[in-house]
Amino acid sequence: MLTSCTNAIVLTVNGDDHMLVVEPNDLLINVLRNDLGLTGAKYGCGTGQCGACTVLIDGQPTLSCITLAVACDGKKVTTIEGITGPDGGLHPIQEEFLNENAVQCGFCTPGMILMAGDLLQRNPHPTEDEIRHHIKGNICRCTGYNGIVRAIQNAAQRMAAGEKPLEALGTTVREVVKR
Amino acid sequence: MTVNTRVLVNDFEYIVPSSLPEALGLLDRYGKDAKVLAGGTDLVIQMKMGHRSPRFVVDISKLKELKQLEAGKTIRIGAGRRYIDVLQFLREQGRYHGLIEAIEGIGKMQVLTVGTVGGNLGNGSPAADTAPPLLTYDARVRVMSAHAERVIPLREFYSGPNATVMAPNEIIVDVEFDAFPDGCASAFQTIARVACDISKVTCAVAVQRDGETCTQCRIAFGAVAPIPVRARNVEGGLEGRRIDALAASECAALVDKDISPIDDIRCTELYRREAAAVLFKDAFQTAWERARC
Repeated sequence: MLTSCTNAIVLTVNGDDHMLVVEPNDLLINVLRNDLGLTGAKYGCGTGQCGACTVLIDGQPTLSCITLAVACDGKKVTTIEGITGPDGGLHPIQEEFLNENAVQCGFCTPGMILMAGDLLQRNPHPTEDEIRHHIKGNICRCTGYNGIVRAIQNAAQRMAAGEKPLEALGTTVREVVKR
Repeated sequence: MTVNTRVLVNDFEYIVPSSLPEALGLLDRYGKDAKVLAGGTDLVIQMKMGHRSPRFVVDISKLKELKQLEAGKTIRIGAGRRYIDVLQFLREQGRYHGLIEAIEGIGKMQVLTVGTVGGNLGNGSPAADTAPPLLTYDARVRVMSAHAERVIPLREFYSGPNATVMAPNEIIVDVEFDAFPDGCASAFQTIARVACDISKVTCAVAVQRDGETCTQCRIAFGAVAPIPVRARNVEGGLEGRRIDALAASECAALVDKDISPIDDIRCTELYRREAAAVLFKDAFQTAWERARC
């Protein structure tokens, strides 16, 4: 039998540093939801198919339901809770999701918004095809995707026009709490 | 039995070696009780589903020795390089469209940011998307153990469904293939239920073209046999032949001889046979056009 082996890790989540003790088999999504109370990332399929659990790790979109928390030691995690405009209000992507009614049950929305932000950082002027390609790993069973695509197109226009700085995504937007 | 995929129930020890020799030492010591973790997009799911239950998980994702990217006479891709890095590297080379298309087809961005070519091959899946294009490039897999290093031609790498000739104490270090001479091009085709699903059938073609004559042709299929396979009969029908409008269609009839698909959860044998011939025609025609100098 294995002796119980716990690991101390440091996770920077939405700018806050957290010292955590985790088991090797703790999944990142459960640490975020159960230990840190961040329920934005959703448990959908649990097998890396639906994209509802998407978070950014060191700025890269990743599936938190198939990511070991212990493997994230020292990394920066951004969840939907960390996405705000610089003034603390909604991010332009979030506002456009509301404007276009791109949300119905809302379960896919955190993943969709993070993927939209990731796309617009890589490619500020995406075509419709590029948008659909980028969100192909995020399944929505309500909206039929058209509203989501329009929302991302609108957000791209606003952000390209410099309405709000793109850097608001995936970087520290809260004060870092040193423990 | 229904599996609760919300949690990972296996108990295991998680180890992060700081060098390749250290990782190889761990595998030598723990043998079958250990599994290496790179992106985890296969392993963690397999552990959740109860298909694998290693006692030691060796995280090799940070090992610099596995991160090579080399262009020149030999193209070398470190086994631990993430797909997105490999994509960028291949696009800079301006060739190897077959492998580019295969990696793009693997799935969603969230997998491309963590998954690796080494993992795709080492997992042993007959449906591994990168295997057919790499077979058409005559790629070689370099593996190491604590005691030895060996280079295995990819065509000899698979030993059966979800199995390879690698020993439990070995790690894939990189995948290499000879750079394309002029007049060479490749293409890849896949068919799956939805964009990010596991492929039902894949086909890769690499051709060398001299005017209207096909001087060399390599064709490989995935998910239509126990392992990814070369299609020798189809290749024989095309090599040395003047390619006219009928060539691909005529040789598509030979695809049947090169594959041995089964019925499974994703589709039937008959469907796979029909689709394989169609994918071959599309992949061949695309590669042939790309090879036009």
